Amino acid sequence: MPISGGATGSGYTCNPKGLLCYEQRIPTKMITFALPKGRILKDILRYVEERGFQCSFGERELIAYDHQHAIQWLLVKNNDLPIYLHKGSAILGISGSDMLMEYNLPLCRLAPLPFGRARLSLISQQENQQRIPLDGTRIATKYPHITHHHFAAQGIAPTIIKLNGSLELAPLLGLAPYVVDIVQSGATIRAHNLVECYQLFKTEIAIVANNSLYKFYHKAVDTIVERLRR
Amino acid sequence: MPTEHIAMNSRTEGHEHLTYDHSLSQRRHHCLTRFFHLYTAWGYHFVHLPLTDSYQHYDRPYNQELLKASYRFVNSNGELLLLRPDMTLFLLRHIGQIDDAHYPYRLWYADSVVRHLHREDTSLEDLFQSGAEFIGINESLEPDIEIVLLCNELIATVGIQQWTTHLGSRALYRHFFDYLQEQDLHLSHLLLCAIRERNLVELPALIQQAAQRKPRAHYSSQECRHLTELFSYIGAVEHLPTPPIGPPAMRQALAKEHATLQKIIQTLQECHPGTYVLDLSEVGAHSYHTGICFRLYIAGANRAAAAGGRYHIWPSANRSTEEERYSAVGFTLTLNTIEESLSDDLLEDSVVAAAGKSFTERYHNAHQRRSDGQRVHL
Repeated sequence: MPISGGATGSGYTCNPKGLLCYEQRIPTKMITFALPKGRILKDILRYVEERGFQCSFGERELIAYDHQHAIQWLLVKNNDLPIYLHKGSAILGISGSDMLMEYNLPLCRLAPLPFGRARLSLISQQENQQRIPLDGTRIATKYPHITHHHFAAQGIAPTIIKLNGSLELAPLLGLAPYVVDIVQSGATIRAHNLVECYQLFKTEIAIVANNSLYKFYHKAVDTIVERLRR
Repeated sequence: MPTEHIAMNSRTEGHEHLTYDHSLSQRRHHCLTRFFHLYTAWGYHFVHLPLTDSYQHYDRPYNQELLKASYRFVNSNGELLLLRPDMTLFLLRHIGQIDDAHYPYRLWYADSVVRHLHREDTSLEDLFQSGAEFIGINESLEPDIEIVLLCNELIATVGIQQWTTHLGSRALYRHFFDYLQEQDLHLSHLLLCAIRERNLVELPALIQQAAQRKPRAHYSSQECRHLTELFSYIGAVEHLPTPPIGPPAMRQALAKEHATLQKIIQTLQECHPGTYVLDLSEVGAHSYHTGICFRLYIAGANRAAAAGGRYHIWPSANRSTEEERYSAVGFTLTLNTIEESLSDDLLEDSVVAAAGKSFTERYHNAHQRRSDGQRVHL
């Protein structure tokens, strides 16, 4: 059974409000570690396994174990990961700075990882590349709060449309002339005849943790983080 | 669903104590009864604080973080009122009503606070806080130790068995970065957040930025590295690295603060053995903190159960000099966190029925058994 505050996996029983009582939360010698699904996962799994951890998920499996290092791995959606950590369902996780900025939750950022660097950019079709979004201009994004704050700082109030994926379609279908999204190599936007107008900021991925759970289990967590930083 | 049905069926936060899960009310009752006995046994006086107050008294730069999360409304006179977002904040404002003769003054409180914490975390709007303050204290370490011990005993008295107490120092932060308060308040805020949240990714760059703002001699690159190590230190007090940072006066201050924390932790261990961790990322949640800061973490809980520290206050608005200020130390426990960590086995629910054929017989039977400590209904 994992050490965590809110997981409801096998072995847990909850009252109707979902509270886990003290005994059910007591350390059982495992650290819960949330990994983000998506394109970065393959790199993360390779990185983790190169450092001697066992982390392999069967088909459709969302939970895996490394019994030697007492880790329970969880696979969660990229944009849910900060919530799992904040609520204590996982102690540790790997998340991009874009998601951490979007949620702005008080999570520990223990160490950066040497891969997965990208940029959050404003994207549009070729004819809009030189134009700046104005008040009311529609911008589709998975990052409504970052986008709002970025343009508000420039005194611009665009209309922000929250989407959860396939953002490249928005300009092509006329939903929004602009998109704010992560760009890594630029191949995806080029494939859809889109261009990068400008970069909002650089992003990187980091090992993150729930602050209070980190404090309580810091020795066990630091051992894992140290190994991951090698 | 029609709007009126949604309105009829919606519940405000806190209703679950009545309607959803009886054990939640039991948990609150369990904690409060034990807290009441312990605070009273320690000689602390109960105080009641107002639920609302005029907003203008709190609209200060150092309160902005708390005020951002607060709810405000306009009363029938057009006055802007603040709904209590934090107990200590309201306590500090009303402390001026206490007569000087009462100092040093030990007090405790328990009540709700309402604040908007995060758009993803609406479950935290209605919090129940209880805490104690020891006001009008001298420079001795004993009041700090007393407050940490009381906080630990409160956690123990409700039946929590595993927790750790993390001790840090706002004074240490002030020794190195106090100039930021005047030079760059925004950078000071970012730096404190990075230290508090253990944002070790951005901390080195923020310390470098802060070093550039330092009047006269900047901190060197090596000193910045030492400062990063120092403010991210978490571990045994005897293993704290005491690097040579800054001029001799600052190095003396660092050594003095280290000795202070060592003495506090040693005395705490002697009085109430437990897990006490030196954690220099504990720099206090509020800008009014000036000395030691601490937090209690419970096994499995995703939020700290208690937070506190030493601070200065001016008892009334017309006193503002250094000589007129009082030192105080206190803490706040968040009952919501503690209640979630309680085992159902700890909760007493053994209410029995009184025996007797008539109402009068049952009344006398119940009266007798209640005096023996039983819980009896008629």
